[in-house]
Order: sequence, then C-alpha cells, then structure tokens
Amino acid sequence: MKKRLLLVFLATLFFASILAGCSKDTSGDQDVVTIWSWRSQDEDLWMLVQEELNKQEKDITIDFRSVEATQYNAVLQTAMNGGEGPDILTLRAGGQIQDYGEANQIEPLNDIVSNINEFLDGTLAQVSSGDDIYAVPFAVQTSQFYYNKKLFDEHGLTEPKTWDDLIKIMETLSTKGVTPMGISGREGWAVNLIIDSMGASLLDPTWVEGLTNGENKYSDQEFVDILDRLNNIKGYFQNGFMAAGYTDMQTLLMQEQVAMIVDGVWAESALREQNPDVELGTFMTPPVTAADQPRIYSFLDGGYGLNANAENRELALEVLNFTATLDFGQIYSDLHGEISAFPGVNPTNPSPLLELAIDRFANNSIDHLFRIRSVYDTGETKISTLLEAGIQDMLGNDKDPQEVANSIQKDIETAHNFK
Amino acid sequence: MEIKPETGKFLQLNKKKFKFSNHSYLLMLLPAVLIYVVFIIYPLVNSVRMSFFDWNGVGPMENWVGIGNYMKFLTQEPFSTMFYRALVNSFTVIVVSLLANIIFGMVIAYILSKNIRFSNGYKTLFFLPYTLSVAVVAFLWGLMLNPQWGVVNYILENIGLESLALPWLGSSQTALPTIIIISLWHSLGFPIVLFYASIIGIPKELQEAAVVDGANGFTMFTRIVVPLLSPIMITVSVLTFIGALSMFELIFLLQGASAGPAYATDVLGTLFYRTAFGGTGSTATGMGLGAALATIMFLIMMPISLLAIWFQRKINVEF
Repeated sequence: MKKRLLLVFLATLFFASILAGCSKDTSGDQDVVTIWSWRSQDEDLWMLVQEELNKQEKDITIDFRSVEATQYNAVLQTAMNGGEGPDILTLRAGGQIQDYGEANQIEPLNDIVSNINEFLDGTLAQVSSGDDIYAVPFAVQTSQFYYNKKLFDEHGLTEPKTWDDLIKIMETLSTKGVTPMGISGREGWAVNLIIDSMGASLLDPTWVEGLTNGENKYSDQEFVDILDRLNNIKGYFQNGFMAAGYTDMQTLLMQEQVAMIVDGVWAESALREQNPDVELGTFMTPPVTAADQPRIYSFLDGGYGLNANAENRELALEVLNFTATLDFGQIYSDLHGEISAFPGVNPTNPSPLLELAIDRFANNSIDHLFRIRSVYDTGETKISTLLEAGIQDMLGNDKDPQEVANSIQKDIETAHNFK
Repeated sequence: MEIKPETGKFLQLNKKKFKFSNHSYLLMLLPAVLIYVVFIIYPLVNSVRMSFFDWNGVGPMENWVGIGNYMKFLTQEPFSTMFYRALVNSFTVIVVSLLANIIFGMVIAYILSKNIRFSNGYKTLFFLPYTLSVAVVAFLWGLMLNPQWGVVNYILENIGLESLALPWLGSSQTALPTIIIISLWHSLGFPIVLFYASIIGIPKELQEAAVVDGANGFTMFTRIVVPLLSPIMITVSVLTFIGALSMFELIFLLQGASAGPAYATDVLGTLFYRTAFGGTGSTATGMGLGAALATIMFLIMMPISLLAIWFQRKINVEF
C-alpha cells in the first residue's frame, strides 16, 4: 500500500514538473510590450520611456530583455521562427533588417509610424529594403582615436594634423618609454574599427564611391595603402597585442599603459566608468596632407522593428511612434551619451567628447560606407569577416598587405558583384 | 507474470494472440523512447531536411537546393577552404586528445592504483578541473594567459624564460595547441577515473601470477594491464573522438565565433556556428548551410563510433 502511494506521488510529481514548463509568460498580458536588444544598457532607456508614456496617460508596461551581443542574432532568430519573438525587435542596420523585412517577419513602417520621414534619407536607407522602411533608427556610431591628454601634454604633443604627425607622435612616445597605442588583436571586429577610422580620412571619397558601385576593388592600391599604413605602425602597439581582447585594450588606455586606442563613440561611458580620473580627448584619423579635411566613419547602429506577429500590436505601435520623436532622441542621447539618429537632438549635458562627435557626424561624415553596414557587409560572405581575418593574418603572420587585399577581393566576389 | 523480450516474436500474428500483458516492457520503454524521439530523432531528421534548403534562418524555408550546400563545402571557394582547414584543425585536436587521454590517462591511473602516498589527494586534484564548467575554464585560462596581466607570462618572465612569454592565444602557431592543452587540463580527469576503475577491477591473482613469472613494473603494465584495459580504451577513444570533433565552447569563449587569429583555431564546431548563426555583430550566413555541415560531422562521427563499438564487442575481455 505504502509503495503504491509512493509511486503515485512520484508519478504526479513527475507530470507536474513537466507541466511547469508550460507556464504562461507575461507577453500575453494586456498592457505589456516586450522589447529585445543586444544592448544591456538599454534597460534604463526603456524604463524612462515607460515613465514618459505613463505620464502621457498611456498605460503601457515595457518588458525589456537583453541578450549577449554575440548570441543575439541566434536567439532572436530562433524565437522569431518559433513565433515567440518580442513585440519590438532591436535590429542591426543593413543586412539584418533587410533579411527580416524581406521575410515579412517585421512590418513596413511607412504608414504606421507618423514621424518616420523626419529622419535623414541616408539614415533611412540603412533601415529599408526598397521603398519599405522597416525600423525606426536609434543611434549613429562613429569610430575615432581616444587619447590620454595628460600623457600628450607631458611630452609636449598636440593632436596630429597629418598622418606623418601621428607617426611622429608615436615615435616620440615610444622613445620616452610610453606605449603609443593599444589594439585588440584577438577580437578582430575591434581591429576593423581602426580600418574604418583610417579609411574614412585616408581614402579618396570618389574612390570609395566607385568601390560601392563595384567599379573599384578592395585589391586596388588605394585600399592596400590603408592596410600598409596599419602594418607599418604595428611596432608601436603594446606587447602581445595579438592576444589582447577588446576590454583589455580599453583597460590599457584607462590604466594609462597606452596613450591611444581606436574605439567607437559608444565606449565613452564604459571608459569613464573604469577610471574617471583620466582626461580623454578624441581625434579623427588625420589626413595625408594638412590641406585635406579629416573625415569620420559614421554608421547607423540599428533600429526598432515591429514584429509582424506582435502580441500587443497597438501598444507596440504607441511605443514605436514615441521612438520616432525628438523627445525620445533627447532621452536616448542624454542617457547614453550617444548620437541620436533623430535630426536636431542636442543633448542636455553633453560631455565635451560627445559634442565633438555630434559636430563631426554633422560636418565630417563620409558619404559612402566601405566596411561596417556597407553593401558588402551582408550575405554569405561579408567584408567584416574577411577583413578581420585578413588583418590578423597581416599583423600576426606577417602576410603581405597586397596578398591580404587580393584574398579579400577574391572571396568577396563570390557573393557580391563587381564590374 | 513473465516478461519475455523475445525479439521479433511479438510480430507473429498467426499462432499467438498478441497479449499485451506479456509485453509490458513496451509500455515501460515508451516514455524513454518518446523523449528520445522528440529531443534527439526529430531534430536530427529536421536538421538533415534543413540541409537541403538554402535558408538564411529568417522566415519560411522555401528554396530547395538538394546537395548544393554539401557541394559548397566540398568544392566551392571560400567555403571549401574554410571546411578543409577546419577539418585539419579538428583532426589535429582529435589525434592529440586521443593520444593524451589514452597514454596519460592510463599511466596516471596505473600510478594512482599503486596506492602511493597522498593518492587520494592526487585523485581529487586530477578530477577537480572536470567539475568546472567550460565557461569557467575559458574565463580562468583567459585571465591566466592574458599578455599584459596574465599569471602564466608573469611566472615565465620571472624565472628567466622571457622568450617563452608569448601571446599564447594570439599567435597562429600557438593558439590551437594552447586550446588543446586547456581542453586536456579540463577533461583528463575523466579518462583517468575510467581507467582507474578498470585497473582496480583486475584480479590480484593475475598480477601476482605475473610477478611469480618474473614480471617487473614495466612488463606488468605493458603485458598485463594494457591488454586488459582494451575495452575501456575503446570507450575512452570513442568518447574522446566525439568530444574532440564537436569541440566548440572553449574556442568560442576564448577566440570568438571567428576562431582567430586568422582562423588558426577554427574547428568544425566553430565553423558550423559561424555559418549558421554568424560571427560578432554580423548577420547569419545560412542555416541550411550550417545544417549541411552538421550533417557532414554526423556522417563522420557515426561510422567511426559504430566501428568502435563493433570492435569493442570483438575484443571482449573476461578475467
């Protein structure tokens, strides 16, 4: 009798625990809008948005979830295919938005988000497929040099006006026992940022336009020149730079063990958090001659898309419409210290570096992208993946820059058309 | 009530009526079979089906390409270069892991079985890393091998071996060997335990008889212990083979999905992940392609595992 009771009890426990996995989640709740992103820092952002919407008598609760950046694509894809995706998806500009749009997993926003046409055409192009606008852009990112002002002052150095000036600065620092620059050799995506920054100022804009049209190639002398220049300064990088990670690079700068790094405008708050006492400055990669203008690689980070099968479509639309306003841009920029994609946003208390970045975005942006978010950064074979491996080969295995460029061009041609 | 699992006989419909009560084992097997089918068989079949489509993972799967995805990996640049390079790297990992697990596993287990001093302490020490998760192992070793602040290079420099203070995970020559060593550090405890359990199972009479016949330690090991460990060697080999072929987490955590530097640590597992789910910040290449690669890996693993199991039955050891 006891044994049978025990068996029945265990069996019930077993089946009950199976059913526990079928519990209902909050996404079905009346007033909850679910939003996913790879940016964990957006937790605070959506709290502020919720507060603002509640002030406007809109009874909306936002349930935000962040997934680690390297796994976000996979997790989102799996969820969307299983019908369990969020109401609002944070998507990276360019290929990812196109993929979801063309698969009809997100809705075109042309007619349902009222202020969508306030954004600049160039910005909207990065969240569209054809004439359909698929996401509300949120931030523009730029890559530039960050440097330690104190170290520069100590050695009588000022921001370089030409590439040769930069070399001289590195040489001076090196002879004085200061490691001039830190890079993250192990995390290729971060080294790609250096190429972005260098190419922006050092590549002829007309040539870059030709590249995006397929008339010019990555194996041309112009691009090889950029790789060459990077290769020639590797003697000024920190010891063991091939094994250093992205956060290592940032730590080196903030622990004053290197004088400069190249990083994105998104990094400012993370850097300051590490060591608020270090005074930072930024400069764009200096051009070849003093007569040329320096330029900055600015690209749209991403946008917010509407799940075509959103559980709470009406409320999600309320939220989306809010993200396409100056107020949202203001909240975003003030909170993150980043450049809002919405035109005309002036952050309330910008750091000097953010002010510089906004000014440069407005006045020195390149017109045609050649690496991240460019036309070649989508599909089966992307320039970003090829470039990071190529640079690691060049810097770590002493591969010839022309060979690296040839290999990149050969591989990119398998997936993209050139003339 | 007798339970007669006479295989095949329950399909005879002519003579005996199929009495369910005589075959209650079927009902008892049902939950396990159900779970197996739902979580193992169904995804496997679905995955193979996916490999015949050109699908980027988003939206409906509609573009049938037959063996196109397989041909891409076997013959088409740049996929074929990546595939063969990953295959060679995987093969290197497998061979080194096999040799290390079997040789070191057996030798260490044999020494431990001799009841030397502190043998219990050593057993714990050897097995302890195996209890750590791969994420913890990757994190720990990432810190230790850091070129600026890592303890490994610090020690090397302070004992006068600066020339060996290399960027271990950043050099194309040393990255993969380093990963292999970390992996062995993590997992060697398991074969040691398996071998140890087998060795202490060898009857004392056999060993005593060998001593009487004039066997010394070395002969004892090579002529008595090793042959008797053959079945467990096969088990360890198969498990090592499968583990090494599907190695992924350690490399993913330390080097990223791009398995750098310059694909030096790219194995089939990382190539699969990068193909199906994309690298850092980039969009996916193709789920169909990834499924094809996963199926290729399965086709490599399956025959060898079956062969090993067949071989193990043949060399059945009885004391």
